[in-house]
Amino acid sequence: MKQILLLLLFSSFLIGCDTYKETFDAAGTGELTIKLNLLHDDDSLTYNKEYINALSQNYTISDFRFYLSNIVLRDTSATNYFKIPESYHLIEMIDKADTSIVLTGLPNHAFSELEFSIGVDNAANYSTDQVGDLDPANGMAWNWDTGYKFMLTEGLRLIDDVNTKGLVYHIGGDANYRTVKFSGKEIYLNKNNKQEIVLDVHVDFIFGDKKEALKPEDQRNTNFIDFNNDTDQDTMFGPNTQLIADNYAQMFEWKEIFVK
Amino acid sequence: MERNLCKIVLTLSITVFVGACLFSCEENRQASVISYDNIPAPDHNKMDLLKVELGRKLFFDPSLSKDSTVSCAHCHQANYGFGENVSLSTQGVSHKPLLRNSPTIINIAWAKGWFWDGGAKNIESLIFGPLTHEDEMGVDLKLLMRNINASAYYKKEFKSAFGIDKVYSAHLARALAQYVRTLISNQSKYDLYLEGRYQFSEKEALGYQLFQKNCNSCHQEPFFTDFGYHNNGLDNTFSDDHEGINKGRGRITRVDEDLLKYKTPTLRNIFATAPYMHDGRFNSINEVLNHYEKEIKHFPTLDSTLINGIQLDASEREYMLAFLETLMDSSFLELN
Repeated sequence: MKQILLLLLFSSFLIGCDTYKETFDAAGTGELTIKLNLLHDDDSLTYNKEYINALSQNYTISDFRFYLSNIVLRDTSATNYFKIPESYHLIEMIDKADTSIVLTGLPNHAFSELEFSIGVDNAANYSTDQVGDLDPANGMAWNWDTGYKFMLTEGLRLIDDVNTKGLVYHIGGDANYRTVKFSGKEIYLNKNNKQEIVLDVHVDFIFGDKKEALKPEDQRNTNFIDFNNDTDQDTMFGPNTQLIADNYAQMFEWKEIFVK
Repeated sequence: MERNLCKIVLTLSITVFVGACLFSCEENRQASVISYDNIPAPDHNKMDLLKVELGRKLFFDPSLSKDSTVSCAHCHQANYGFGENVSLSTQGVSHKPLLRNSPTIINIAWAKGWFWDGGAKNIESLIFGPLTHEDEMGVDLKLLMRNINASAYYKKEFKSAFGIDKVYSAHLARALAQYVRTLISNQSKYDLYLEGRYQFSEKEALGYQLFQKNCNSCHQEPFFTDFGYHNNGLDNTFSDDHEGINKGRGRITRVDEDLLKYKTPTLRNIFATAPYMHDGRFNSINEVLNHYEKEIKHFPTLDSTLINGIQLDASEREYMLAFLETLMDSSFLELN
């Protein structure tokens, strides 16, 4: 019995390693910069500036952060891919409305797809004693319910000329993890080992894309968020927060890729 | 990373295998479950004497708090079972009363969730709660880590325990977690009884029978808790205030089935851990027994074992108290 158990354990260990080899691309000299332009109404995100959401409610943003994680590059064969190890990137606006992730040691290979997620996968989300961008000192970990805020948006809701109310969206929880893919791209790290991808991040889409206001609700890509719904169920992990998660999955726009 | 994963899998496999062998040799004696030799710990924070010792120093160090006045030990005092003798603590940096009773720290390495509602998924993550809560130690982690890295003493301590030159909040949490995992109570008369080194008196034996009949479904031996969550009929209302803190387990799982449920507290060292319940509303065991006898409030999530309450007559109460007395562990309470 014990021998069988041992055998089972060892075979599972061997299988685990084999699967890994199949999808592994040897690290190379490829270098990819992902530049993120944080935009609101197609203009650079500006803190404490008066904005209007898709439901014509006025607000300001004073803090905006999110986790971009688990970057994967795929080639057209659909079998080979390279997963960036320990890929957790806290995106925040510091001084200027653009920020970059620099990835090095990538395989010198022709890739056609960029994939990443917004949030933190459950393997990393269930324990907050972590270093790097996941260090709870960065203020993105909950201290009473283990896990990370995937996206943090704070500011003020401007109710009328005199009255304001805090605008606080701390969205997290497994159900709000979203994955974004850009396919059919030419990320040819075999030809030029240093490249830069530029992505626009439409922060306003978190509350709904105003350009879709004239479309019937069922034909919109984004959900229009009503600031009047501001219980914990709407602003942290409740079912309503998945509307916001669906929105932040839509906020990325591929602009260009160029050789550095 | 993936290569490390293989190593981890291998190590785990061996551990499980060896563990399985040991388990079968050990005859599964209850008393040996709660032991320094088998403290459960996550793979990334395996028990280590130097780390435990560092964690102990941190636990008693008030300089971890915002204004250097409050240590973990202020609300987790050894003589109260590493809990506190007040319902709601005002010892935090703001001196505002907390919303829950400081829980005891007794054999919590074996728990499955931490805090009264199990919101913390492991002890390492739990540590950041009391450290950063504005009404507890209220510290800014960035500032704290800057101070720790500026301290020649702690730099040296972390270097020898973790082999690191720069200390991150994760290391602080890991050291503290290791120390609290060693807060083990297994030297009570009940434990001696399990080892065959103590005979219950007649009253204690009768109390033990009553306990097994009425309490054991939640306060399971040998931990005297099932580490599960139950509604024991304290309330039948709740609100959304303070992130729904009085929804109990329900605010974590966000399902109605868990509303008003709280983690079963251990009965070990029970006479040292008053007041009782998640908000410290009962000052004595007699008040607790009165509650179970005739004050149960009905709600859909009420534990099925408590629908009719627990009735004990005066002599049965006396036996029950006699048995509970055998769960006291004076060496754990540092009373010797």
